[in-house]
Amino acid sequence: MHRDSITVPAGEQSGQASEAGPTAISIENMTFAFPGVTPVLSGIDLQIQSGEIVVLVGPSGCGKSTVLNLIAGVHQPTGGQVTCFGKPVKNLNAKVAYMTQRDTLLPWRNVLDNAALPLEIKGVSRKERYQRARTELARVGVADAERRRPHQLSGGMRSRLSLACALLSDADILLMDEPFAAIDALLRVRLQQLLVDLWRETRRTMVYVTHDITEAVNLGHRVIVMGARPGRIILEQSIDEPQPRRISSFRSTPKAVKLQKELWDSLEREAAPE
Amino acid sequence: MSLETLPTATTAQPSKQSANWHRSRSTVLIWIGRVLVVAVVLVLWQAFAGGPKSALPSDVVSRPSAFAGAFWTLLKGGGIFPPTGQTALSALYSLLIAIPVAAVAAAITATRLGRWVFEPIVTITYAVPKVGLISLLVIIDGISRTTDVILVTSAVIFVYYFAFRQAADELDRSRVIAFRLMGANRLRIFRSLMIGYAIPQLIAASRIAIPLAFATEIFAELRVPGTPGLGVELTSLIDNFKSASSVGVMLLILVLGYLLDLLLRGLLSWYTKSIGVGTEL
Repeated sequence: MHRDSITVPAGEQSGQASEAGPTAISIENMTFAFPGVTPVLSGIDLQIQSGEIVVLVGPSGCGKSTVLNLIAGVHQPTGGQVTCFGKPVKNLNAKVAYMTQRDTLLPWRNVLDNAALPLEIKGVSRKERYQRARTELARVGVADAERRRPHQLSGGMRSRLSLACALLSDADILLMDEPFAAIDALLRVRLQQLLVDLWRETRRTMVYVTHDITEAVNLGHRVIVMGARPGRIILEQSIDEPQPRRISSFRSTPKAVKLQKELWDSLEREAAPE
Repeated sequence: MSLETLPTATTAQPSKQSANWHRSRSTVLIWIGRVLVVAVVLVLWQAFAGGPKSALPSDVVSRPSAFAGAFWTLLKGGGIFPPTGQTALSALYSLLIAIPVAAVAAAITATRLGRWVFEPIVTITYAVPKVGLISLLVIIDGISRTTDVILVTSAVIFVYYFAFRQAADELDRSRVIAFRLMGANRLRIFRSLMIGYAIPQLIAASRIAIPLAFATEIFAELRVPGTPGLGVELTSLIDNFKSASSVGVMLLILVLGYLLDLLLRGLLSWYTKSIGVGTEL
């Protein structure tokens, strides 16, 4: 087993995370296993700078989602440690918002009330939370649907609403586990564009999990390729293209295609029988 | 117009209309069948009950026309409504106590420690025949509305408890995690998540609990006239050999129960449609 490591210091990463602050997430020699089962993760070392978009790609079952769960504090590592802004993650990590493929919108609340929920939990006054929710809904493009219930929205609109909820939670870090996986290709590119546009405005740290190499190259400052059984990092690839990108044009440039091929090759090498 | 808001499935309209028409026709046929069965029973009953060659005398088995007459007299005179209101009030008090207590109990037993400590107690108390508590309650509180209300509460609380427990058990773990990451404490999760999840089960449970509350309350009034309700009215009619009128009271209870069930069924259907249950939860 080899590990091609092309680690680029965050401050030198081609414009995109050049304003990066301190280390947002530090993962040191982390291992994880469920009791009595083959280890899920082994020897994961990863530093994520504040304001960076890091994308994890890898085959199914390689532990990408588990990495997010460990950062969120849903699970605790069996070895090594995870720190968030210098503090070890011992319980659920209040610094993160988590967006999954199957969204967690409440079906009995309308769009506005769903968006306002994170602020309601924080005790923000009704007037202020609705004002902020409306602003965020307008930003993600679902302001017209504020009275609708989630089941009355399309998949794309639900994703936009989930994104608004995540942004309104005021978390420093957004963890995104294949949030656009169930959406058609054209719409997915538009949502990716929305995400990088939002990043430009908010400069939140994002850790994004996907199976889709094109999506990884489109979005990430850095792409982490994971291998399976047990999950480990086999390649770190920085994406030398300034953010925010025009994804519709960037995705088919020779540079993007070359990066996609390199990542694809690394995954194929990993999957090839020894 | 964005791609996400484009209208879809416009060609599906005719087949949808056809399906609706078939459904309406089936419903009408089913209702005609039901009415026919009831009509045949009533005609046979009217023809053979309480007549000169009948095996049973008319003061034991009245004819349907006598029941209908007694029922109409009860409605027309209006004297039946105050006892109906009294019975409904006691049942309502019981439901108002049972629902929040059951919700809190379900939230407690949904936790690991709560389940370990309290679930055996719930299982044992569930098995106790509630009507057997009447004598004990009379000794404690005498013949009063409180006695009736406690008895009815003890019967309906389990219906709501199991409904809330089901909702708690089916709670989506990812939503709980999302709430906790947003900083929600247990009380907030209970209020904003578990109660929301439980509402369909709560309405469904009410379809069982409300008739049960009425039945238990009337039974309690028959045994312990703590509330001047329908049970007391029934006792009075039976004691005076007014069997047709007593059946008239039961008919009234039947009609009320059916209307209430229709209302709750409609409410459940409307609510589940309005939140897209089946695809959401």
